[in-house]
Amino acid sequence: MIVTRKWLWLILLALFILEGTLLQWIIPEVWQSKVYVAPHFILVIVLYIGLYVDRHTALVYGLVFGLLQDFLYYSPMLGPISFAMGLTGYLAGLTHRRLFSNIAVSMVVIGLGNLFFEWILYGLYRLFQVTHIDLQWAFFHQMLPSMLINLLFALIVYVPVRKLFESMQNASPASDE
Amino acid sequence: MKLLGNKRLLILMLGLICFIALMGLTLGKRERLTWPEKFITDTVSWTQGLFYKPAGYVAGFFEDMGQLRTIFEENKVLKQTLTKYARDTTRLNDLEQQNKRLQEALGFTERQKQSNNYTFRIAEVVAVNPDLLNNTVRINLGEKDGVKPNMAVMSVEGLVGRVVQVSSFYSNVQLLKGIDDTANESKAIAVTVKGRENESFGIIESYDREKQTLLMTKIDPNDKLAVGDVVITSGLGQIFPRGIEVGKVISREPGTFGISHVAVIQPFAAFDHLREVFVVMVPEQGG
Repeated sequence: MIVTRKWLWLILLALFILEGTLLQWIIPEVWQSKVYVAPHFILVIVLYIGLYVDRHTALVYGLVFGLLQDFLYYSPMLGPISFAMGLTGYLAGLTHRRLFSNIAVSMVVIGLGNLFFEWILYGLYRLFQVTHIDLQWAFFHQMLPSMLINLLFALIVYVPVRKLFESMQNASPASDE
Repeated sequence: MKLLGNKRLLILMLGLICFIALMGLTLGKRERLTWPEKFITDTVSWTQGLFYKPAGYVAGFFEDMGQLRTIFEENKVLKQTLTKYARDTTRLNDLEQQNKRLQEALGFTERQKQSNNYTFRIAEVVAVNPDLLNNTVRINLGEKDGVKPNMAVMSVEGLVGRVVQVSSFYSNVQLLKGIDDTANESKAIAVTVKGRENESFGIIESYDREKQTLLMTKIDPNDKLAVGDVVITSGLGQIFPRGIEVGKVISREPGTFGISHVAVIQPFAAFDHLREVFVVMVPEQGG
């Protein structure tokens, strides 16, 4: 149990570093100038945690890694990403054991979670007058393409993530109830 | 089915209020970081640097392979530029000496003489902000290297952006495509036309994401600015240095109220896949 938890932190930290570096080179240039694609792979994993572990864990991971991103990259204020990621993870956790946990449901939840996350961020930035982009434009050029790419990532990692969490739950069958 | 109980709703609301308060308190005061932020930022940035550079090299290698065909022509153009450069250097030396002599003759003070003596520090990009609403990149020069907020950042092609936040060894650069006249935290850039520095004036305030162009406003209707002119920074604010090329004028038309004109500018610098940039340091204007 402890071992897998530690692994989860490491995986998320590695993903965090890759998000700002390697992925920026893998994503084709057209996707950064005509439409804008943002990899939110941390968010995808946080949503998976919400779906398959429980909502409180997802909340903690979301808050911590969101705060890390707030610290590291420039944004005019502290906290929006932390808040958005924590809340999204928690809400995804509410579906835990209420819905059938098959692949289609997971993908729908992750897709909606992604949109919800971007919407909160956009709303907060509009509220504090950081950005003034038209919502419709932002939706079709930023949120939708980003969601599709993150969904693709979610599909790719579905099997390994599922296995990881199942091994976590097998290691501690009692603590989850 | 009851999704949210009373207690949970209360906690959620409390969390929301706390976060809004945190955002409000830290809004706009993030040019210099507190020490825990600095510590985390510098550590993670160092690790990111290990990944960004090799990734760039690998991607660059494939790009180069694709451009193998055009390399012959590129070489020819470069050779031509080199001869032109050699010619310009002799001319520059000549003019510099003349300039010095004239400054002596006119009795310039030491501070005035130094004011155009910019230093260019090369910096490597270590990471790109994955958040789309903030177009920033991280570079590996920081407070300890003398970088301060609001310094100009350029690439070989032209102006790229401005330093918005510094930590000890790294700093964040807002790219020109993040410039926005309606945002609180954005600063406009005073520009003029190359060759007619004292006659033209305008301000670059916003970026058109769809057309990928910059918008220059507040141009006098009698201004001689024309399509094809090269726009450079004017240095009037004393923060940005003078003479950094920004872009080329594509079109010019009367503005919304008809009082001043606006021009559309095609930026010279590419903002994607940046690898190396220069931070331009202006000598202190104190005293």
